[in-house]
Amino acid sequence: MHVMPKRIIKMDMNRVEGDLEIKFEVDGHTVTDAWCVGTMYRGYEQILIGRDPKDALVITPRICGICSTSQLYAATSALEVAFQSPLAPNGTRIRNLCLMAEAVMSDARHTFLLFAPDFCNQAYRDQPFYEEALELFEPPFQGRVAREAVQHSKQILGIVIAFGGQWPHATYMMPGGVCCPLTAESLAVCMTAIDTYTHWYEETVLGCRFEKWLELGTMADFFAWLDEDEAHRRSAVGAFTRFGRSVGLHQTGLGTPHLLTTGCYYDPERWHRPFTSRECLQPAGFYNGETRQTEEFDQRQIDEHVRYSWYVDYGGGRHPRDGETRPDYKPDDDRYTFAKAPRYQDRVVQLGPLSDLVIAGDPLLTSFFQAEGANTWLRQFARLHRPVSLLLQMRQTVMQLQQHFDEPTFIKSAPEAEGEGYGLINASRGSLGHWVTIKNGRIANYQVITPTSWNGSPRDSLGRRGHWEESFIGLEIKDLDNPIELCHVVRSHDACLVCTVHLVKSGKKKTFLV
Amino acid sequence: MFKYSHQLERASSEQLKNLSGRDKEATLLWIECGSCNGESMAILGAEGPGKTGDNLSDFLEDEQIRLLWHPSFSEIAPKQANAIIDRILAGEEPLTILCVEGSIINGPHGTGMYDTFNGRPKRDLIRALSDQAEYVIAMGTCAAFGGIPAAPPNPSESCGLQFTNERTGGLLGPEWRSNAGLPVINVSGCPADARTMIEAMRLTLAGLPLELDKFNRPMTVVPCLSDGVNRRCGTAEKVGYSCVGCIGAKFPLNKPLFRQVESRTRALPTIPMSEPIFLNRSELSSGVGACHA
Repeated sequence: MHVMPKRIIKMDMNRVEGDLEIKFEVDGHTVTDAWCVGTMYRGYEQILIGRDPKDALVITPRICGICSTSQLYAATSALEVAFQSPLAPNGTRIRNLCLMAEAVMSDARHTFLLFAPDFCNQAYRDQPFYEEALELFEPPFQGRVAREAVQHSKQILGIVIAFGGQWPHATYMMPGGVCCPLTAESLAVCMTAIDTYTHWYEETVLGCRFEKWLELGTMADFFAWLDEDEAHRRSAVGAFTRFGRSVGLHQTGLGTPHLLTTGCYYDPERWHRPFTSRECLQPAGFYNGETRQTEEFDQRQIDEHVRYSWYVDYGGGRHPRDGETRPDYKPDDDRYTFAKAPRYQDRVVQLGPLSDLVIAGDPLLTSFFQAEGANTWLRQFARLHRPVSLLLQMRQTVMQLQQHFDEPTFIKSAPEAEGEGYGLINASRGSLGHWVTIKNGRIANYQVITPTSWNGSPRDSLGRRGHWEESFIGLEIKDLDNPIELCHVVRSHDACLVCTVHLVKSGKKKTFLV
Repeated sequence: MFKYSHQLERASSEQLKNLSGRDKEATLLWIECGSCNGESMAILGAEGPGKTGDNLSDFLEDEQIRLLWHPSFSEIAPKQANAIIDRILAGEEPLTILCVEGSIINGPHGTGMYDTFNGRPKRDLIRALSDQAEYVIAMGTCAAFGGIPAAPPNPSESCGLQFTNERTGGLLGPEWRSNAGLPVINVSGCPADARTMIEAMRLTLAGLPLELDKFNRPMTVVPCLSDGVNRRCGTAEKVGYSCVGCIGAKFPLNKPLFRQVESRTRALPTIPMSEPIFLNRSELSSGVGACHA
């Protein structure tokens, strides 16, 4: 047997909510183990403690510059549940509309500015698609689709600005609804933005009309569609599919078989006090990869471990309501990250748009998922597919706002001095949760679990690898100095916005006899 | 209040005639530290009235600036990014503008290990890069003053580049100057307004005199450089809450950050249901990254 040294390679990855470093062990060119290291700590949760509860509406959006609307929606819902505030349905409609606009924006920016540029990597210079990849996606901002994505993703944010005044980091939602007025002008802005974006999406991204796209219910339908027209093949989704599948992205990055989504876009007519039944337009659910059944989601089944994180260990898992974040950085023991390890029903789960839509029963994605699993290509494909239904839903929401134009957007009520609440929504890259405890009119505890903490989690108390760590195992890396295969897997999770991988060094060599 | 008009003297009349007629190529490096990435996102979003240069990609093209590296938008082979930084630090690659986004993190216990790059505190890298740069621009309140991470109890021991909240002195001392003789230019805001970021870079590159206020914010660029008293942008009131002087150097305030105000009486007519109302094309360009400075 050929004897190869195993070695550990370390690379820094950058992302929105801090920096990420991935250490992986290779045996020859095969990844045999991996560690995801969150290398930044800012302490937002501690800053909130002792403050006026509504300060969360100003502070938490600033956790993340790419999903600030999601943070605001989650924080507002958490306070609303804690205060048991009466809620104006129009407030929920406007929140949903803005959150959908942010997701549509994020899907385009992530796919065309962050994921697709990898096809222009030097590793692919001899691939037949290379010239075409440069033409469409060359970074920074050189490729045709990349440039258009900058313009159009900005334009759809006009919807958030119409209500929130700015993006990112607007504060316009509050318990009871939204504090901005609903005007004819804001509705007109929304409809124009939706029309313009839809037109671009049909022309450039899909190469066909929405109606035709929505007829694709199975994998076979999709491949038939791809071949039937040159416009489909040459569209952004066509190019993405041809490039991605030709380098085998549909065969990598499976990770955990369990999917989770905590539900999103509250039903404006049915989401009200006492907030016990979570009526979402995009349902919550847990897909059990062993039984292949979707089960009901229960937020009480979430807990977080810190055994391998640089926090004071409380032993085992803890529900975020009782969670604590007490940093304890010691570089020299076996702990390795500032990220915590959330688990659902004590299982490692993955989340993101693919989980959201498979659990919601989307036929096209479910067909692919059943045949090929939750792989690198499919996770990214979900981001190209999702805006179609979101834009239609946004259009409907604008029509509903028009029908309910004379109703208030906000119902005034007094905040409670004591209470507990949680807000769960889907950010563009997966489910996001805020848990708040209020005592004597002040925040007594605040915990946030972001989608990236789920996906990029470290090992838990039982030593089980997090989802990303697991999804790297077995990956074949051709050039250890340019591990593009691994970059694709990480980026397919939209590891927050930024995940430029830069190899720092081929670290200390470990030698094993194989 | 300071005026840095020496730049004007240094600039030749020819340069002033043609703002992009610099004698050597300009370079830009963007670094993120304790950041939410809000400025990187905002700078993709600007589109000023009638101008093409108000987003990062057009700005780089119009001004013929070579982007050495941006952690979000560059796609250069991993080893190259490090090599570029090494070349800058060795003085082999000229660095015209260094943009820093995010708080400078010093914790725990002053070690800087809460934010590392290649296993070393990122703040050390930023300090070294600052010494090589012609101009250093703090993009956003966090890089300028420390921002929300520096709010009590400041768990990450954060500060700004040359300020810690409203006090002078941050990562760099109050007397520190870049190679062009300027302090850190603080483009504050949360996020900093895109047009303001672009304008600040454009004026700096053109060698025009920069008038800075006591927090080293350029007076010449609007709107995000509101001091919270004289130049309120009005965004907060427009969407229904009261302006608390924004997230500037003196954030966080010891009063509640969020106070709702009664929205203005709806003056616009209600929509006749049967009419096609969605035809007028409203201005989408205004407002991205409006002031919360």
